[in-house]
Amino acid sequence: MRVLLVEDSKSLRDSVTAALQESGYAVDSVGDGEEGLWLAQSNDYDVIILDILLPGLLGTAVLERLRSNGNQTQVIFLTAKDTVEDRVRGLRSGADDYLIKPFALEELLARVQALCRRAYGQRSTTIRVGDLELDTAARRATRAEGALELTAREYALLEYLMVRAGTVVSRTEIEAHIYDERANPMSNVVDSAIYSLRKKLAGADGLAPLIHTQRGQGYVLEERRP
Amino acid sequence: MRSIRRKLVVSLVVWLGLLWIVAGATVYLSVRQGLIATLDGELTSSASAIQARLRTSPHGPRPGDDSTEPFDLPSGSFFQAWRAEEDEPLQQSASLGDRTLPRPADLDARPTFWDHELPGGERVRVLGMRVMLLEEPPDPLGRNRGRGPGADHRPPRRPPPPRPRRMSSPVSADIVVASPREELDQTLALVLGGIAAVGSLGALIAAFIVVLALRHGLKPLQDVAGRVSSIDEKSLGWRFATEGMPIEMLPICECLNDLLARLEQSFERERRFSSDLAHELRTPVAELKALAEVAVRWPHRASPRDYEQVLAISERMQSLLESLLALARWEAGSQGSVREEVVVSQIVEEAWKPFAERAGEKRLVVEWRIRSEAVLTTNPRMLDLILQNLFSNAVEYTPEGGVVRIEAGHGPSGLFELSISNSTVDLSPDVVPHLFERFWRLDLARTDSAHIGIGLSLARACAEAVSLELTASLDGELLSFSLRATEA
Repeated sequence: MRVLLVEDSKSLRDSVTAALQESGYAVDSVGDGEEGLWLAQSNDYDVIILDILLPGLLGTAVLERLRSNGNQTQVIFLTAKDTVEDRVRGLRSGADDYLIKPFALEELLARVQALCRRAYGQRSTTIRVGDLELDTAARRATRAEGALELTAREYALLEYLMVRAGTVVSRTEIEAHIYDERANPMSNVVDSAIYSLRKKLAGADGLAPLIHTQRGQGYVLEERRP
Repeated sequence: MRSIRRKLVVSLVVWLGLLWIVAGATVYLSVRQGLIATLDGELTSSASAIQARLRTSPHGPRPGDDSTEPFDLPSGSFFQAWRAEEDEPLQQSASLGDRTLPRPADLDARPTFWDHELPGGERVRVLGMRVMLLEEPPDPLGRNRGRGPGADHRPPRRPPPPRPRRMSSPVSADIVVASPREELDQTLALVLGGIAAVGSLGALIAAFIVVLALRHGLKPLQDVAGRVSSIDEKSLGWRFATEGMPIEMLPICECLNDLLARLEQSFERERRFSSDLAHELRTPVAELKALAEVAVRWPHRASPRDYEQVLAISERMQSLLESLLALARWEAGSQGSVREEVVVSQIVEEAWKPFAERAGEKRLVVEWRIRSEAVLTTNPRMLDLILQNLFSNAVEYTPEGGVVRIEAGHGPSGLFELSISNSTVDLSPDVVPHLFERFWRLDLARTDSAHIGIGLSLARACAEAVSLELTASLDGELLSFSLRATEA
């Protein structure tokens, strides 16, 4: 999942970015409202974390412009403005969630995760495709009751393919949702990650493949019976 | 609790009642006087008739005579007449019977009226007067004998034959005529009862009208009071509509509107201060907490640079707390009591030194216009703090290559004046009134962590503590902060 963080405090921005990256999210972070708006309009993010008092353009103005342009990305305000009026104003301006500083990183991560689930119409924290099960709360994947050892990137890829199980996901979409703006779009990171994930899903027992290639279109994760 | 309406109701009802009583008494007394005057007029007419009759018939019926009343007196009236110096009545009404009328000793020709109560309780109105009669000389034929006191009471059975004219001598007589007051008293009682009934009813109606009129008249005051009592911190934007307001209420409502406007501004400042303070404190706490959480949960992400950040954030919070404490102390006026004479040029130059390098980096043109002899009696530490804040502000916000002008001396009034001006870009006059508000910064996002927005508030608080006035003004693109002494 890909997250945009717009926060003017560099220290906080660095810490939250580190926490999100460690949790498997691809993160783009900026400290300016106008730059944040540009990034939000240029990329397809799953969640945007937005401060309100931002230089350049206030967070509420960023959100209003996004919504007026039809952008439906899940947005959470992360701000020191703590009054009831502030929270009501923030939620009414189109935000999906509101978190007041100071906050617990665990809570922020849980909220981001919940917004990601909501973005893909998931209610449960457990996703199943055949004998493959993904617990998004515990960040654990199992197949045929055997735990899978995945890197953060592999977990993110698997999670994205599973929330879109049964539909073809293009390489571009994977790049947009799994990799941040620092990734080289010309590289074959997606192919490499798919290869690695397929290998881990097959396991030592050579289980039936779940990730299938749709030639010229992308990949689809589903259980196909022989 | 005092009530204007109750006080007005009581006053108006009491005064209207008194007015009503006076009016009723006046009517009653007028009617009474008129009725008594009428009765007195009748008595006077009767007395005149009696006098005329006595002149022509001085020997009318005697006391105890049961003959018909000799005079044409009103019904129920009676009289008694005495020859002066005699106690035996000369004539009296037959209806008087055995009763006697009072005969004051000091009667004279002018009629005297008074009220009298006869034996038996009958109240009468009495007229008494002394009249002159012509007494015939004694009849040489004795025809007139026995007509005097103690003579036969009976009138002659036949009229005497005409007698030759004889000379008469004047004699005075006292006449007392009485008429019963019963009818007059009944009339007066009716009048009094009517006045009392109408008066009572009128007083009740007047009181009711007074209450209604006051309620209606005081309604604007009640409306204002009701509205004022319902105003709270959330409705400070409400104002009294002055159109159609009674002229007596207009100054009050205008004053209340002014007061509400000032309160609204004050609340808005406090709200903004609370919000800004929360932001200033919440953000560094969030930074510290996030740094710590990342370091604990993902130790490999922690680095010595994080500790440097923790230190910087802590120092910023310490600076904020110390500034707030200093502001609170100086606003409370607990500082600045120690004053001494300082040479202005020296303290200004000392205060400028920490900023000279930064001004050089920004290629600022610094213009000095300080009279070297200028001396000020003040607290040097506080003046230094004020100057440092003003210089910091000027150097930080003057654009590259801009001008900073420092002027000091005694003005035409003889009072000390110091002015620090700097060129600005795109500064609106609207922001000038906000410059001294705590935590106010042109940059709403407060990304610039070096300035927390209370320097100018602190400078003004310090200035007030040492009897200096700090003001700001914008002339074109030149922003000036002026520090003036408020006492010599």
